[in-house]
Amino acid sequence: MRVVVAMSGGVDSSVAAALMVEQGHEVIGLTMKLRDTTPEEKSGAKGSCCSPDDLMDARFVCDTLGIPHYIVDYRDVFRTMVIEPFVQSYLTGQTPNPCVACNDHVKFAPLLSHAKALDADLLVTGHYARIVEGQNGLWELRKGLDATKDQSYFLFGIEQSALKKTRFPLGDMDKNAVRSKGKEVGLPNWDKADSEDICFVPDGNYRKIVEKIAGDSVPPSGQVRHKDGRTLGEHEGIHRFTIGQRRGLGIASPERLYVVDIDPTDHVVTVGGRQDLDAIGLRAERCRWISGQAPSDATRFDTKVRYRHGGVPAHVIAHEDRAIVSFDSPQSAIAKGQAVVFYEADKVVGGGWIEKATTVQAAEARA
Amino acid sequence: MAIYLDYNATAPMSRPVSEALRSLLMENHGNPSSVHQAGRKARARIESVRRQLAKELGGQANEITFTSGATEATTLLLSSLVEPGDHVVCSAFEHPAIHGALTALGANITYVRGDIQGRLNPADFQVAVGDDTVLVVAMMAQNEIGNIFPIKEIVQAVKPVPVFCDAVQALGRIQFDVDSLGVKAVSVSGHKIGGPTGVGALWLKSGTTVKPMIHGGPQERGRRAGTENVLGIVGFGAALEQLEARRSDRARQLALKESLISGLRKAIGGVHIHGDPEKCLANTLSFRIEGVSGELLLQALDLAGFQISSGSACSSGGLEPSETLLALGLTREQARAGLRVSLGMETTKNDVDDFLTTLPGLVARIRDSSKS
Repeated sequence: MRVVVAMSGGVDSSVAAALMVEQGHEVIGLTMKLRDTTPEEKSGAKGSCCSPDDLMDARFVCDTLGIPHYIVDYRDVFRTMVIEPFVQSYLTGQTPNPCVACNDHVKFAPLLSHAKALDADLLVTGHYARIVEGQNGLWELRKGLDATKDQSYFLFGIEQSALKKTRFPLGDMDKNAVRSKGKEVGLPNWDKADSEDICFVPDGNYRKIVEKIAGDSVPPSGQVRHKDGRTLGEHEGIHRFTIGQRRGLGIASPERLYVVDIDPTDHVVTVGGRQDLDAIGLRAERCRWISGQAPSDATRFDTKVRYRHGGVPAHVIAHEDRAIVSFDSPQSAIAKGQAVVFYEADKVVGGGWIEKATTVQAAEARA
Repeated sequence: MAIYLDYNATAPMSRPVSEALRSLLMENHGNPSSVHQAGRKARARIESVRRQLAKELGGQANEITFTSGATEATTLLLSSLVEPGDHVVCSAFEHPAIHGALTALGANITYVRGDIQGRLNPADFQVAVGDDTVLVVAMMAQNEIGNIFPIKEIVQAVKPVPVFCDAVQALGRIQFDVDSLGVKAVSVSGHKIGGPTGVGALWLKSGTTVKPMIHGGPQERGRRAGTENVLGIVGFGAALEQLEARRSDRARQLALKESLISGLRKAIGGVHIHGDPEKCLANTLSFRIEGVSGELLLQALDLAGFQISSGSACSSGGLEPSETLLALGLTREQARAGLRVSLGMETTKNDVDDFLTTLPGLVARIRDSSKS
């Protein structure tokens, strides 16, 4: 089979390519150029994904494997569908998840179309997740077997037509096995450091990026208020805060304070104690379901409210692209703009975007 | 076996060149600055290539400086003649080496644009130059669209402002003589004529001082320090031996290009040919196919065993739409569809036929994939 492998220059996608070569496929490496090179990267500073070093690593790996390698220019779609919404999200007091947006708009549809144009049968990536052919001709998305690396959370938006044409060869491997495989087949980057940061925020300072892109529309300063109504001080713009944040509040207080609410209309950041972060449920919008159909009845799912969340059993009432979720036990720091993903054991049922957390007070007020 | 149709990027090393290089690699080829026999032999070798190149261009041997390639030759010339703030008139079709060096030097650049077929009008250069213009830059033959520009007429039109001419694509394709053209300087490259990469030369009419960029020893009359690239220069010389044969292949290449054009038009809808259909290199064909990304078709062709280029080689992989195509007035989307086929001495009728047989299927598949 002819297959294309999306290659970042990192060890995971390189090993994915090596495995496909080993299985006897005709493999083509593709590297997405998602953004322009920064002056720091030109000077040789360590960059993140898409730096010139990564492109060259991917090319060198392909040469080692004896396969062709091409660069595909997705800078425009990445800017409009990932970076700009990311900035917009912070400007409106939300906490975005750009990796889900990237999988939704950049990785799968354009790459699958590119694969088709090159007459390839499958798209292969180095994601830690599994695609399994289930019953009734439906394809299933499952967690990767390495629980510490599982990336199924970022993939809930993938469609049946894409699942059918995609393979994740690392889904049943753990990271150590991936590295040893890379070493065994002689990949030059087998011991390259993992990238954990958001690819376009290599130093972890997202505020700098938001301010640079937002320009004049950077939110003004505003008040920091305690949940009990007291004004505690000033802040330099709501885009500098996320729900659950404790550091960098600029407030001296005997009690530990956390950001519990961000109001984009009056620019107020509300802080409170740890218990004020607790939510007993949430409302989700723009939900997608792996099977293509929302679960018909109220169901119980294991629910993740952010990537590094351990998951909580919850009662879920789904209707088309909306869902109302009630947790079995309160969960802390539910942030608007993050994704909520529903699992049945290791199977992804679907997911959506958090619209609102249901706090204890809100629930009491309703009752 | 891959079919190579990218001669404007680099021409495959010709057999006499690789043989000359092989025999040189097998001996101690000496340092041309050494006093002893090996050194004298090396000196004689490179000086004989210098004479050979001077004769080819129509200049004097002492006006030639060997460099690492045409980009270095260009930079050496421009940094010798242009000071920050100086006014330079430049055609809109120049190689990125020109724009890059002029920008780095802080020149004040006026671009002269062509018509929709990329034809340059010497009168536009006349209008563009002023009393303070220090240099005019215009290439002899365009690397992407193949247009041959009226250098002699441009020289006449801008007199007495000196003209620098990039002759990289012209060497071995067009007979020219620096004296009768009246240019001030010319840059050429070894690997476009079947020589090795990493060697080129600047011809600069005597009477102008070169400001060296590399300092140290007295090599190249103090214009470029460092031990000469003996292998490269000898390979360049072996390639120069064959220029007449290259030029005499012109009519054959033109016939191949014409069959390529008619074949493309017959087999595929929405084909547009770029550039001047008359005053054009016989080997160069720039075109686009409506609704088909050049980068994508380039990849599909490579997988099918055909090596061509989208835009110039420097821009493919660089992923920016070709400045040359944009200068023709194409939109960014149209320019992104640009492709270049460039033929050479080794290109056969079979190569062109195979290309024409394969291309329509790839185009259909790409058009189909963008629908879903």
